[in-house]
Amino acid sequence: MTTRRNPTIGLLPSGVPGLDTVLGGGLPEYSFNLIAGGPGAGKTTLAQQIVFSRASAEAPGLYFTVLGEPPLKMLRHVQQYSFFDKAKIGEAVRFVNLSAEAMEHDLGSIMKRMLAEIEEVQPGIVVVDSFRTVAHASASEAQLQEFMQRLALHLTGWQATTFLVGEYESAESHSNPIFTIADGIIWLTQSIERNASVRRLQVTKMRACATMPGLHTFLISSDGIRVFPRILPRTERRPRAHEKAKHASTGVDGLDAMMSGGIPVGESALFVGPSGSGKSAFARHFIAAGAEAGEPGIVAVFEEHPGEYLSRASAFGPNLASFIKRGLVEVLYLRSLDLTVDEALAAVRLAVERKKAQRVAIDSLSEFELALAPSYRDDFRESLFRTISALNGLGATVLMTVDIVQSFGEFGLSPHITEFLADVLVLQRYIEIEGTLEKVLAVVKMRTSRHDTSVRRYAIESSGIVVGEPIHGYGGVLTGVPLVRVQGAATLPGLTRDETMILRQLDELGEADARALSRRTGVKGSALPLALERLRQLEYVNTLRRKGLTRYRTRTPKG
Amino acid sequence: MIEPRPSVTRFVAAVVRAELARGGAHDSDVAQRILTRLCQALGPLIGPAGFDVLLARSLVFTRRAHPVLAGITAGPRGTITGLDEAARASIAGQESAIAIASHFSELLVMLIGEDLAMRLLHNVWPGVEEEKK
Repeated sequence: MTTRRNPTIGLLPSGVPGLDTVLGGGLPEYSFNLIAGGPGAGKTTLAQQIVFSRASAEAPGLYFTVLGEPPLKMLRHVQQYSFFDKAKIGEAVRFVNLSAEAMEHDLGSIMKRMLAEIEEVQPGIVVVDSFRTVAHASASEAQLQEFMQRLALHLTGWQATTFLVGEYESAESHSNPIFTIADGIIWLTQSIERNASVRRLQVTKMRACATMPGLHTFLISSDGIRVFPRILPRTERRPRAHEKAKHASTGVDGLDAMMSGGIPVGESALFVGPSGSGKSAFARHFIAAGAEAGEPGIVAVFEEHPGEYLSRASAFGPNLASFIKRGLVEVLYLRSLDLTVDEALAAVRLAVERKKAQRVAIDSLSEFELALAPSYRDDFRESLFRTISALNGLGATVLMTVDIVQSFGEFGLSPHITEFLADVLVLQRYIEIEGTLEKVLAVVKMRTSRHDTSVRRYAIESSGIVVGEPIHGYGGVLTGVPLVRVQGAATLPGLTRDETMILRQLDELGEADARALSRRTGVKGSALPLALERLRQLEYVNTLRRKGLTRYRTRTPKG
Repeated sequence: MIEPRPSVTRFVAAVVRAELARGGAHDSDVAQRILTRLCQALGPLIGPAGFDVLLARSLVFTRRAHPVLAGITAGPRGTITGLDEAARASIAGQESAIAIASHFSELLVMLIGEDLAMRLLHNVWPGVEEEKK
């Protein structure tokens, strides 16, 4: 019995960050590929980046220019990218212009010239840009098909990995023979969604490769193209032995006490609260506590410039400037127009890897969401979830903040952010007690640790955040309008619980209308006038009219 | 109007000397010989049409800078006519060659940058080193 061995297909690194992940490992050696897309989609940039990355004196790159971008302009433009290497021009990278042959509308002369160049140069990589203009020189579809078959065969025989570059519409993929003959097809698209430009890449075909399906965003910068794979390679977190049950201090003693020592190492925490409630102060305490213990940290900010962020930090809470100077903390400023979620999150991930950061603060998710191009917001939650998993997989403990508009009685995050993103959820609220606004917090959830479930006051002092005692005697604190809680035992004889509560509040206030009493006691609807009427009949309260409103006050006990 | 930079002029002067030293060319033929070599070397890269356009444009600048070369015109594939008339106007063949090739090279430098342009030109005349200042 013989063992059948499949021929191994070598995968070549493309030199385009992120593309190899999408391709399932790299470019299949000797494959015959098509880079397709509309004008300005980035086809030529992609081809040039691959050529300059792959080409060497031993395996040169042969770049055929046809009737597309004039070669002089192409040479002028390609030099703007950092991947351009002038030392490669002439030897490792050869540009050959075929416009004269193409203008003769003779596929035979084009083929003859190409084969002559291929045999002379013996390239490892070949690009034909644009192939669409070559196709225009064909008299019929059959002639074009024959041309492509010969070219594909010849290039494979000469061990060249080939890219045909062309402007094609997706509708053509069913009728144009090039889509059948090509081993691989990379589609690049650029669309305008609302006022944002969105670039996406899709590998619709790559023979013998397990490519990553779907649309992947990409960016063109002075470094060329960077692809952001839709699905990051899964990172399984394996906590080191000493990390087991270890908590990363939040830098706030009172909060650490509520959280069995802090945020479990390698987990993520979401601090949710209204504007001004001190979420950023918590983030800075968390980063500073790590830095003091020698743990590098990253702070990602979006709207506020790092300078402003740090100057505010020095006014409220720990000053991060000294840690930045010592290289323990880095502030990433991720504000840019049409920011893609993948781009921003990749920047955070790369910074964490580069700095070997153990702590990350993303301050805030709400600003991050606003900084995104509108079309990326739908992908926000999914990308964020994947990135946090990746960061946790790297062993980093992540603290995120998110703004909520505090509507009394309700609690909800942005439609694109949900609390399931985090292992730990800390809720911050403003509450009004007797005409004074106070800040309270509660640890709502900790997936892997015990935690204090009480609602506690806290204050942001110049020395830091001070967490106080639990709030007693009130119910519904997190709605923002706490209600006085009346114990059953304290109910007055002959009165119901609601009546007792109303009477006590009235006693405290001296005089009030029904609306104020409802707000203080939570007794609503028809229950309130009924209770007040009974209290009046039992001579506990008097009614009086002021400015057309009925008001109530407790009666002075007789005798 | 463009003025060829000194580095370009020095290189072109060295090329002219090298071409004359190779022999087989009269003084008046050297400009054509340089352009033919440039066309052969750069044509595949920038296309014959691209080369013709560059040459035509550089002759415009040359004629402006050197009125005695007013009669020169560009033909296809790097050919130029009117050099004989220039010679009769008592401009030396070397001088014409330097003027034409310098303007052509300067235009190439302006379009694709000095680093790449000079690299391509050095590839055409690999042994030629311009005189140091």
